[in-house]
Amino acid sequence: MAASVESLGGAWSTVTAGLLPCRGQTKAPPTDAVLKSAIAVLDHHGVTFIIEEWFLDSLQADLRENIGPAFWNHFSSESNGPKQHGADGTLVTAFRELHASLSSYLPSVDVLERLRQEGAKQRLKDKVLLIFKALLFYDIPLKFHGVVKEFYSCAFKACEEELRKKEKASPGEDGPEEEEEDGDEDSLTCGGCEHDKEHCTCTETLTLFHQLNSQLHSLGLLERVCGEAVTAIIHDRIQQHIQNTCQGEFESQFLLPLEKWLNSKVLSWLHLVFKGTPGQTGEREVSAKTQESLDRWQTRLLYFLYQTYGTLRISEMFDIIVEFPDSMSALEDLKVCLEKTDLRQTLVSSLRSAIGRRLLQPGATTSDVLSQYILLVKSLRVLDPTGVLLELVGDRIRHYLRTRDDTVRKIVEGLTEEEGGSDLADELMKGDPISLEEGVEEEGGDPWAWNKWEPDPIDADPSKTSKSRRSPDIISLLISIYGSKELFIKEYQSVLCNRILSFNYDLTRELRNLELLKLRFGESQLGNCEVMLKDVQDSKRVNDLIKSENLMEQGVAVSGMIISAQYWPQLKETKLALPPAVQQRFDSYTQAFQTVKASRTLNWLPQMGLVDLDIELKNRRLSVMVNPVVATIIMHFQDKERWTLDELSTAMQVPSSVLRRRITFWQNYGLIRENPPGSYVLLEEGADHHGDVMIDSDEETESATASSQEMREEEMQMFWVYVQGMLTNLDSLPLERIHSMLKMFAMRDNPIEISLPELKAFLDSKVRSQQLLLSGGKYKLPKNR
Amino acid sequence: MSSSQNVDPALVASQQRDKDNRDTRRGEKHTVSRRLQQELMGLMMSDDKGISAFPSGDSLFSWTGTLTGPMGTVYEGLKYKLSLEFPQGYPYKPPTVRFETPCFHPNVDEHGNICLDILKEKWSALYDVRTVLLSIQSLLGEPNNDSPLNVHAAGLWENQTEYKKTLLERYEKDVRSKNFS
Repeated sequence: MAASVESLGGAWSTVTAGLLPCRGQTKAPPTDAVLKSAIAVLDHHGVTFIIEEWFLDSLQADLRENIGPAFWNHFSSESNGPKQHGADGTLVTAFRELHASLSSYLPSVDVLERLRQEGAKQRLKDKVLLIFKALLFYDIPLKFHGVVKEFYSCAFKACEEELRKKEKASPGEDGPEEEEEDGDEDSLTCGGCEHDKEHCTCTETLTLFHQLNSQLHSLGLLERVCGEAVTAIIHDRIQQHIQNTCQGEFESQFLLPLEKWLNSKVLSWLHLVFKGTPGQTGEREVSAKTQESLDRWQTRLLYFLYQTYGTLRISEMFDIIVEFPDSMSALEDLKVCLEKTDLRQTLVSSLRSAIGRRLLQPGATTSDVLSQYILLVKSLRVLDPTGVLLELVGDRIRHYLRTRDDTVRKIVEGLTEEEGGSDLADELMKGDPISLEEGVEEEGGDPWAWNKWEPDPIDADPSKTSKSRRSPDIISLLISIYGSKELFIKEYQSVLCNRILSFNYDLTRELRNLELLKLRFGESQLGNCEVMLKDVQDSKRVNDLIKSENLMEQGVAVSGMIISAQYWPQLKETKLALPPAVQQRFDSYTQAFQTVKASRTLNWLPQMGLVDLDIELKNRRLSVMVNPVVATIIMHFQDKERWTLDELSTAMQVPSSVLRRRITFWQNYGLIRENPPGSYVLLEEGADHHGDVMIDSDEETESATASSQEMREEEMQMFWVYVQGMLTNLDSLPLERIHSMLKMFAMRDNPIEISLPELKAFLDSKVRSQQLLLSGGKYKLPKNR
Repeated sequence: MSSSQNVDPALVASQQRDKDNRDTRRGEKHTVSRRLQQELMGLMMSDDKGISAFPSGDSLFSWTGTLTGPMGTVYEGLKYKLSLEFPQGYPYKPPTVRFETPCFHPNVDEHGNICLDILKEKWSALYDVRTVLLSIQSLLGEPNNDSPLNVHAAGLWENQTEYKKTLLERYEKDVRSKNFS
């Protein structure tokens, strides 16, 4: 018995000595044969199972006490030397040691593996690796990640540099796009390691890199250790690359080249990490699992690429819109990005804020805002044909435009400007306009239309029909800013009126505009404008008739513009007494008119029109086209050399303030001088610095019609009268009551309206000017009025 | 002349075909509203001194009027409120007009009823709110003492100084103290 115990003890010590790696021991390990016989002894006693337990136990102890601390020591010690590239030392050394210590256990693992019963669930090697991982990485110092990342980014650069060198050696393989990445060729430093070219460490780095990868791989730690770092590096690289190649470039599409770049450069590196260099000693078998995770990685990176590119484009969206349609390619790219990522919300909010910051501010003119809005409409249609994006982004501009006084006028001017001058005019010229009358018509006829139906995007406003959004018509969009077309027609009428009365129009063009507008707004709405243009034509006919029939006595030529006041916008009534000679010509014209059109007469608006004047003075001649008031002034100086402002004002029945302003026109010409103040003298012989014939460059083009703002003021005046009437009889009323009464009694038949806040602002302004009192929430008139 | 004007043509028509009686009623009411609406607009836009009126509530058929005594009469500077009620048949029937502010006047009784021919038998569809108010305003200065509702006032009228004194006393007592107007 004692012998067997003894032999058992001997066998046990042989086994333990043989299985544990002999570090620092001088004694040679027992040979395989010895070991086998020792194991057989143990087997004979039925205690083999202890061996495995004991082995794992001592492995753990070793890991905890020796291997682990030794490994981490590499990273915790401050004495890492000057901040060198991670490539050179610690990481590789550390992992080399780790690898070595683990490898020393591996033969024993093999031996033990053979001993195990067949039914073992887990391979011993896997178990060992698991223990290994668990014990080693249960606590990772912060610095470790930094070192890993540093190492891999160096390796990445080196790798890229290598690739570039290779390409240079065999050019023309991948096309010219690779060129752009080349940095400065002549620089002395190597692009990979930032050392002098002569001391380039790239090759070393690469060698170390491959070494480390294969070590990590065999330790089963590859993804665990470098995954995070690799992802971060690649992300950085993608961002940087996109930033460098695409920023500010809207005229070509980048998605395909980017994808290609990702596949050729970035993914090849990733493969290098995980598979080793193809065709070289480092190449490793790739397990199905690794391949799968590589594939997943690739998808993720592709998504990241789209996202990064999309985000870049979104941040540049405002400029992209400005450059539309040159930026079409960028928009199409972005469209693809939006389909693949979830950046829609970002786009909406970022664009909205960009618009608010860069466009909707007092510095931008209304026409700028309008044209930007039009570009916005066009660009967003590219991104989203359903128009939902436009609705989400554009309403901010629309709201803003509503607050500008001259929006309507600018739109109308844009619509009717000289061709080529504006986008809007082009838009109007486009065939097949959708009549605002009928809305969007049913898309009948195509029985397969249902086939093309697509649901609205999720951020669509469900209260609106998708058809209303899909309408591509910019003009309808602009007009709907105000919700009513009447406003536009009114404004068009007044623009037209201004053009006609300043005799600055081209009849055929205006007629064409009118026809185009009719297609939009419907015949009935534009009846007045039609009459106005007809008036112009009729006047011409009457003038021709009077001239050809010699119905007027000889004298200064007068031709009238006969307008049917009913159909024209309200004209500003200002008085002007014409010089008798001119008045006589007017009377004579009237008589001539009466003979042409029996039982009708004319009611002159002498302050409107255009006078063709030839002025002869002692030493100069002048030929100008001027406004009647200006012409009348100079005619008065024909009879008398000196006029005071008051005299002139009485003679012409024009307020002296207006007169003073008008006289400056002649003062500028050097024809009249103010001397002394309030008294004007004709300069028969002046310092002749205006000798040339000059055509009036027209002083401020004064509009003949009340502008929409003035019209609004007039309307407000009407409301004010009602409010006064109300308060006179009903003493005092709260705001809401005044509003509802105005609605009932003043707005019922009138198209004009006033909103509650507007009314409040108006009444409060009256309170400030002490025309109203506000007490206890009720408005009333001041007592003694 | 006035008799023919005071026949509502719509009414004649409705009598001819009283099947659609209700419809015509509604149409009739609509035209009355329209007319009153226009009168209101006219009144607002006109610049008559001392007269004014406005619907008192949500209905166009009931108005409140305000007038001040005509210049150069004993009523100068005094302010009176009136109520105007328009019948469905307006303007073919006269409105009912009544002083809401107590008014000491030969042709106004203590309930504010006014004795004025154009509001009764001399009414014509050509009159409107504005002319009615103007008539009442001028009635203040030129009472019809032949058929007085307020005999005391009619008797006093001859003596203008005494009349004015009484008038102002009454006005002070009935109006200012009660914070009318």
